[in-house]
Amino acid sequence: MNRNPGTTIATLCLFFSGQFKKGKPYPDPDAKIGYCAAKKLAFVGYRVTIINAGENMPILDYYVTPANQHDTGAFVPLLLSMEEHGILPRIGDFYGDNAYFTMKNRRWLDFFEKCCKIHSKEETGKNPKNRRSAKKKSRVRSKVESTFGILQKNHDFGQVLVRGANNVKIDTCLKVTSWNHFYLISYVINRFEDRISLRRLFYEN
Amino acid sequence: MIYQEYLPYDSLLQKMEENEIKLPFPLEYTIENIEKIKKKIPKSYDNIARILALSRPLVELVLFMMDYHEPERPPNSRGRPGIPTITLLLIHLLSQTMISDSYRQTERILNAHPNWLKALNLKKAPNHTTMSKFRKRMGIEFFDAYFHQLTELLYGFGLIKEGDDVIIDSAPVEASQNFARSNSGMKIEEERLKEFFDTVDFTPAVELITPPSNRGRKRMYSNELILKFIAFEKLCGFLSRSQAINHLKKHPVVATIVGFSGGVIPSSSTVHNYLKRMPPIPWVMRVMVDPITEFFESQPWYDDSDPLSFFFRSI
Repeated sequence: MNRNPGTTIATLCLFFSGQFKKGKPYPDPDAKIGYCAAKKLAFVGYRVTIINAGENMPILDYYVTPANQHDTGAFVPLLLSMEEHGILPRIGDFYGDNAYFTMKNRRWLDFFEKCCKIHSKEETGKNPKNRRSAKKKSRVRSKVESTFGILQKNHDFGQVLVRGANNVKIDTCLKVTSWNHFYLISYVINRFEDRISLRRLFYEN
Repeated sequence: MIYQEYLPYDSLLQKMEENEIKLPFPLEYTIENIEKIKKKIPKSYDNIARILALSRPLVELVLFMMDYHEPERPPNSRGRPGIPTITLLLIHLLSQTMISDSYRQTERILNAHPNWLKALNLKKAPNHTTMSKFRKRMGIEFFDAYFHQLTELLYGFGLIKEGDDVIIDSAPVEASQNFARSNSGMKIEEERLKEFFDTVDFTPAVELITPPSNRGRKRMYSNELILKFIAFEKLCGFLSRSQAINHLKKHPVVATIVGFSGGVIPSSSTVHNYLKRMPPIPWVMRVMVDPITEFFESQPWYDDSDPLSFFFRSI
């Protein structure tokens, strides 16, 4: 029987593989459903964890996970990445919210001989146990929130126009690189006071 | 200085030999270069063009620290020379700022600003596909290495102090997807589906399955019906079994064509239980490949490159 080999292969594939499952348009196969507790909003996408140097707000490292993974999962990979790139020995204490306050994370910080100043569960909420230390930690920690806010305003952080985990990672990497690049440029052109505001850097003399 | 360990480019080596620059050279050479560029910048340049012009030596330094070399052009190459990596990186860094929402818009904005193009040493902005190909070619490893070397440079410039405290936090990033489109319904081409089930006989596959014993509870669905449902699910390209079942529930006509008359549709777990008692589906369906292929070959509307559209179309 003369059979078109293309048809045979296509038919076989249709039956025996899941790859031909085309169906309705599938936007981003790697994006997952997550929940943003701060915004009280569920979303489909990814979660980007960054490590910010406290004083001047440059980004030291970043990690992208699907949105359905908990924040704490990014902590150890970030520590290992910083160790690999030689940043870890040069940094001081670790601050973060209570999502990162797990036994595993604290053990890793102990292993790398880093001081853990992550908010404990007792230090969170309206009536924290150690009010003074909680306030002190909050004051340092809150800087990272402004980094995200400025990233959103100046670098369109918070949404991506590409699909697939790999492309999103590249896009996020470019965003944080862009943040550090213009931070450095502001120093080079003697306008370090405008390091955070791209608008002033770009449009004001 | 941390940069001494890196081997310099040929041009830098040459300059070193001529005693034009002294060690530790890469960082100081870059600073000197930036000062030279600052003096040469035309007055017509706006802030962004100035920034782009001054960014070049920095990107060059980071690539140098990465030990990255521009791929050499093959000899006797007739094509147009490619856009240098430094330029493409600068365009990407610029496109991540608020001046552009997408890579397509970056292309348009660059073409609308001749000064920016001049600062980038370009006559025309690269196409957005060129940028996409660049990202794909370089991969995440390149961009990640670039980011870490840039962070290293921040330490080199003294912008991050040793022993600085660090803060960790995460933020959501919404995926690129059109919810309205992804939730749109699909419609089965009922006539084609009917023709398929009328033409193709599933008896050879059913004969390979051991008939159920008479003991126990009577089975509600025949093996043929389950096989037809599997064929329906696979051929119509549903993303999951429950999606196929839901479609049958919503479209009684399609359910009747498949064989589930009277509005009784099996649940996902029922189908799973039936399949557990059967040999593996690929083994059973191998005898069906010939009749199914013959059916598709006889159809004028069937397209090899897009087989699913034969039954399925979006509404």
